Amino acid sequence: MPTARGIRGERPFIVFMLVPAFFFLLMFYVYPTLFNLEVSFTDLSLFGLKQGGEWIGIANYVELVTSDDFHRVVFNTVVWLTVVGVAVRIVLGLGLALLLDSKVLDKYRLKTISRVLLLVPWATPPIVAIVSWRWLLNPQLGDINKLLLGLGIVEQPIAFLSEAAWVWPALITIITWNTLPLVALSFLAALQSLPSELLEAAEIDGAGRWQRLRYVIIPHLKPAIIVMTLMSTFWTFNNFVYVWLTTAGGPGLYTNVMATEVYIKAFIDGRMGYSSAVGVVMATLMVAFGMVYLRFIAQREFKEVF
Amino acid sequence: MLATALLGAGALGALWTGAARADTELTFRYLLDNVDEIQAGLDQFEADNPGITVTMERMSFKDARDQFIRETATGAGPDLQHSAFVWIKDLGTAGACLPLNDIIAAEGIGEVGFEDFVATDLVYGDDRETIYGVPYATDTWAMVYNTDVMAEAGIEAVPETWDDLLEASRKVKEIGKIGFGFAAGTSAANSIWFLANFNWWSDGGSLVVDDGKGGYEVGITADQVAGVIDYYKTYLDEDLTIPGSLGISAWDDPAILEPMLSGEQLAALLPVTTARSMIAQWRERNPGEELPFTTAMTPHGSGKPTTHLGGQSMCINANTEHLEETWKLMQWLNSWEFFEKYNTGWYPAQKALLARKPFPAEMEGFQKQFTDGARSWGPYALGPAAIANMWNQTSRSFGAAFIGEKTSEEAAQELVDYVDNLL
Repeated sequence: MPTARGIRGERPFIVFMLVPAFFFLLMFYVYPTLFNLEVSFTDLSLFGLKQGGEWIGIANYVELVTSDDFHRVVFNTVVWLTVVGVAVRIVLGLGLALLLDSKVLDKYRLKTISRVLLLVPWATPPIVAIVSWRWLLNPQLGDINKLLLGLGIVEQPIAFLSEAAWVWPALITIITWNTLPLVALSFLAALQSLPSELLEAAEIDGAGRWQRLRYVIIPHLKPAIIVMTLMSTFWTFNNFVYVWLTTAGGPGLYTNVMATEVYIKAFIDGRMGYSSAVGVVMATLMVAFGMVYLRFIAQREFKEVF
Repeated sequence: MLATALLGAGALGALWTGAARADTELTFRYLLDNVDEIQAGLDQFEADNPGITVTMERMSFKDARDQFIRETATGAGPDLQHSAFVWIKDLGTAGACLPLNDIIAAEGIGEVGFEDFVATDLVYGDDRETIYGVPYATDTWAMVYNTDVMAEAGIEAVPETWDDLLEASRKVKEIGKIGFGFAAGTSAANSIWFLANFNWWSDGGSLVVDDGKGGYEVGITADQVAGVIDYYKTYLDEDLTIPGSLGISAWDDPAILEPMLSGEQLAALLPVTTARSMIAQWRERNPGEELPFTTAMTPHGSGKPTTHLGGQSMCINANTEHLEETWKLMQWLNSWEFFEKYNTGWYPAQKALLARKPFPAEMEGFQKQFTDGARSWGPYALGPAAIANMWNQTSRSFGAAFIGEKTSEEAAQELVDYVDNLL
């Protein structure tokens, strides 16, 4: 075991070894973050990149906070995209993991094939997944509408990606399809580390299926659920690709989220300063979420880490 | 010995000259999809100008403006940039395009001169004196009608007014077909912006007008905007347009063109190049048969039918190190020979050349629209509000009303206030 004196003696070497990592962190994370913060206090325009922007203090933040459109964007991001999107993935991921771990699949020798099939959506690049789903959901040519019309379930094709009632469920379906496998496989890995003796003991004690799930399986999966929820929240909250390529924030502002708002303000409206302010708010919200989550939830579960 | 030395020196000299000539490598960024035709034209340019090579880069229209601004801000970017008519002022303001006044004065441009180009009001910078680009190709929109559907629905003449078009669409619905097919989607790169403006203009209004005092103002009331929102919403509410039209944003979406080709749809409002390619496609599918399409000017309200004189310009990168060669390329791209032999699908943005470009009989509506019913974006592009911002907000407002998120009146007021604030 190294002594305190030994560690002190090695400190210059440790610092030396950390310098490259800190250098890259400063160059590629801290500097852009601070630069973005600075731009958010200016009226920098896309058309004035060479001239630079004028310092306007907190005007961008005041506009943002008082804008009804921005409130809608925050609501879409937090409630629809993140809370609903992540909850659906966690619940379905858990269900899928339980199914894949069940003895039924073993009995019919479907375990391997089902796990390989599960990887297909995960291996599909988001752009391919989105284009495929856009075709499937197309009102005129899409197979889903053809099926619904053919079965007589609807009389008119549904514009899934344009009608207010359908657009968010459709968007969440696409995101879930593409990202669910990772969640399911993580839970499956955690499930496989569950000692069978625990389940057998619970069964002997008279625990039914639901009780085994509630009192044995879910507590065992809790660390995995916490980690996946945290990671999925970060990925989803910051995600630009799915919303932009599927609906571009439309119809109207109905699916506009913070990541697409950053792009729209910067590269369609040309307001780099305002767009940077949106970016700062996004980052702040995520940092706040991460801190609260770690402080009140994860810390309880990972006592040894904290 | 001397002869050998001289020969050697001569060979070296020739190599050097060749190397020096080959050093002029231009980059031309082109944004449309008729790449093979344009490449053939560039090959011809290289053959006519030994020592200059041109590399064509491709980029989608929607990303090109911003990418060029970002590149030029760091001293990079192609020598010659293909752009939309309405981008030039913004690109000039951003310092991305080279001022061309001196070179135009010294060398001239086009067959007749700079004044012969259309939409030259759009190529000046904020000072209204500095020229940052040269118009290159032009187009406009007009109506295309399927005459078989007209006959089947008992429609004897093409609709004159917007209300006539609505009535005709109702008649067509009675025979189980689609009336006026348009893209009601309001996501990025949508076409509702054009449809809205054509309607306002043909009723004597305009979202942006010159206020006569050196400034710009909103030239339309919220009620007029709401009226146009309601007009297009009627097609959606009464199922007079393509099912799922809310999901279509592009004017050339197959969902609009296919029903026209298959005789399931009465009408579409299309740009000239889209109409030409749709008609060509019909001929390919139905060789020898009589064409079931007629074209006509757009419907009108209380004023005359009006669409926009659209098109593309070329701007020279402010950072280019090959101005002379790039200018040669600009001249070539604006020559009659280039449009006659290579860029055959587009119409040149010079009046002298435009007069020479033939319009087939079925494109008569477009010819009329070009000569008697097309206006420049003018104050839209010259005023302080970027067209992209107004376009985006128009889409949002129309979209919000189409899906019932806001009333037409609320959406209209929101749009008018937004543009007023920008101006």
